[in-house]
Amino acid sequence: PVTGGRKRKERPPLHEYIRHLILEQLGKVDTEKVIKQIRKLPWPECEPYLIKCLNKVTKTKYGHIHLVGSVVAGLGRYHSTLPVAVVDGLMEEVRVGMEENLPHNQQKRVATFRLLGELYNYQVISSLMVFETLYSVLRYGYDRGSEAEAYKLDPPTDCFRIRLCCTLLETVGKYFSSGSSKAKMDRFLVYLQRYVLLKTSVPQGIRFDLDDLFEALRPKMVRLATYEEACEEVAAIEAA
Amino acid sequence: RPRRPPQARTKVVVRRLPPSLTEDAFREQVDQKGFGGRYTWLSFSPGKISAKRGEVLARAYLAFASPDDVIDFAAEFNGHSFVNEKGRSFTAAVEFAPFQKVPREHKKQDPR
Repeated sequence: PVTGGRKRKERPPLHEYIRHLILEQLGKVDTEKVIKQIRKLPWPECEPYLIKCLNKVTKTKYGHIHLVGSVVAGLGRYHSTLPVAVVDGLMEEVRVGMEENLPHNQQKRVATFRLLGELYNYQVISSLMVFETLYSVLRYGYDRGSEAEAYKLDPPTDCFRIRLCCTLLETVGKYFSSGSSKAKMDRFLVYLQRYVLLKTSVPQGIRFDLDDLFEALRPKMVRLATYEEACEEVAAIEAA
Repeated sequence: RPRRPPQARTKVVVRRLPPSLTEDAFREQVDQKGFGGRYTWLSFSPGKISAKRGEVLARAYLAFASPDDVIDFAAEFNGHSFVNEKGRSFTAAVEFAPFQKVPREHKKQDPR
């Protein structure tokens, strides 16, 4: 039988070029050059597709995500609508990810968090937003509604949220080493540890992620051992 | 060092809009409820009905000049039903946008 194989999606040449620049050229050529090429495009016509492409972080290589962040920040200097749309889109992804919690979206969600972190590093988003996102990851489903709902959204065996926090902290953590952001990070780490201790069992991969995170960011910090201890720490923070 | 007071949040996101809703239709509904001219910026992210991935709901972002406008807008549109052409209704949700920045006006075009 003649099946003809899989058909390639037909796209207008401009779209193909945008894809080529972002998905293939990034990492191969100078990022400045990619930014320059993008700036030469007819803007109002190309912007929506450009935003779409930049939001598809899973299509780029994981190691190239920081370059995507650099492109967003670089273009933002000339077109401030772009970073706003990209970050709004990313935050929607974060939210939908929390709502659905589908296993086959996990890789995509990790990439989204990575890009979010890179956008902090390129000063597109503030540290306030980074922390708000981190806390919302731990809290989503617990802050409203019944316990049953939280259980459904985040069963005690599901440790994926820990990985999301690790990804984001790993990306931005090196900048939270002094002043008020250091204090904020230390505080968040207490909440994170309490969350981890609430889980019935943490898979080895995620345990190693956590070990690496503490090793890299707070090598001298004493880790909390029991849930009760973590609750006491949290109470102390909240009383202050 | 004295802390800067937290800025009032004035950018909202309207989620869970029908996938087929267009920007013009949305604007019209917003203006009809008396919010025409009260928002300073609006950005619409259209939804999609795809055979492969099901439906993607539309979203809209609005920035207001004052926090009072935000309260009025939320009172009107949070839980408001948008009905699509087939008569199915979608209950919209209004929330503060997690990212509060709004594009600035560029004094001149990109010189390229």
